[in-house]
Amino acid sequence: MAKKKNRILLIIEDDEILLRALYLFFENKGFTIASATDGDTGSKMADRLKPDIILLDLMLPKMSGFDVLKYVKANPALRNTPVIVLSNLGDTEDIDHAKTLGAADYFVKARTDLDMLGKRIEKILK
Amino acid sequence: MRDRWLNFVLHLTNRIYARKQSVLAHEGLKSAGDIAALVLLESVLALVSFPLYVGLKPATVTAFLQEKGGYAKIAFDYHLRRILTLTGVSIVLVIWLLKLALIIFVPAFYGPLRLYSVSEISPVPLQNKELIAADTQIQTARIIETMPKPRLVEVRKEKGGDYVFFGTGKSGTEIVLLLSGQQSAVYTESVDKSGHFAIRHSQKNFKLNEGNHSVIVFSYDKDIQARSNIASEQFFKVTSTFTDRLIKNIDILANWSVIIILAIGIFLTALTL
Repeated sequence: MAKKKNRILLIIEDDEILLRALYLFFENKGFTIASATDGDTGSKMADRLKPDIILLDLMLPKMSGFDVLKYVKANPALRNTPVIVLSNLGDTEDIDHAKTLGAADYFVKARTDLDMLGKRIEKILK
Repeated sequence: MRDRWLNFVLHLTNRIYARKQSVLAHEGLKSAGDIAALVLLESVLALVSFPLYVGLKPATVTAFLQEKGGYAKIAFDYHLRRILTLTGVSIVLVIWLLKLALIIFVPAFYGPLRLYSVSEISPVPLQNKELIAADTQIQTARIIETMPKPRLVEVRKEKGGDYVFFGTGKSGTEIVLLLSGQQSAVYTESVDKSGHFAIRHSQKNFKLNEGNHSVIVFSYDKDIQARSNIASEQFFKVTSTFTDRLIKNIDILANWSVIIILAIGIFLTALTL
């Protein structure tokens, strides 16, 4: 019998507490979690891991979230991986920029709760 | 419940981010107010997020980063700041809770706190009268120059904080030891057959204040109510133990610890900006 494939969620977030909170929340939803606390490591992990979905912060050390998004969308192996942005940046310019680069959705942290985020990720993966 | 808690963590991190932006945008008193609010929020977050550290092993979070030194290394300074803030806040809370408990419960058990109280005004018991009379007689007894003077050899501090005075004198005579200073105490003891005496002063029964005290010894003959000249006056220093000092200064320490911990909190918060 074929083993059921785990859905892999890559979280790229530099706030460790928030990262751990996201980890606990999505682990409980049945995801296998991988995480990185900077953009450079996050993009390398995406390369190696080929996650099912990426949850991406924008203000990251070493490599910004916008650059990670560009990198993912320019990579043929990752191009179809949905990237959801979860950021403190709430300006329309930033949201439009991220969507232009290929973000599947954009959540402003101050206006988001985890249930909303979880439902959106489930919907995208379906 | 668990999701509500995680959402609260998210909410707090957002509030902290907003406050940091506000600190950067303002100057002067407004900025100081923002920093104070930041310290408060960081403290709450440190407490609320503590189970995240307890219940989550870093190695399981980033299994794919082993060759890069692992997750814990990347997050070390952040982790340390949170733990330090949490520890500081916990200490302040414990100290204040202790103080609060004392303020509330001590009067309930022992009645209202009084700075001065006068109690049990009654005639001095007969035994005490005799003691006072004896002490007076000893100190005012006539001096016989030829009576041999005892000698104080050593003052030793015992483990429990008591002081023992060792000396020599004429065998069989009665020795009087007088401690003086802000407080005074009189002890009498007989010189043993070998010509030695040892007098113990218990700090539990009569606590001498911290500082220098003088001690004098002389012989006393009860029958003829006469005494010898005093041997040369000697001095000894009463030092308080660490526990004594701690108890005496606990209130000052508690108040200072709050200031120090708040300063550390502000410093740590500034580091996260």
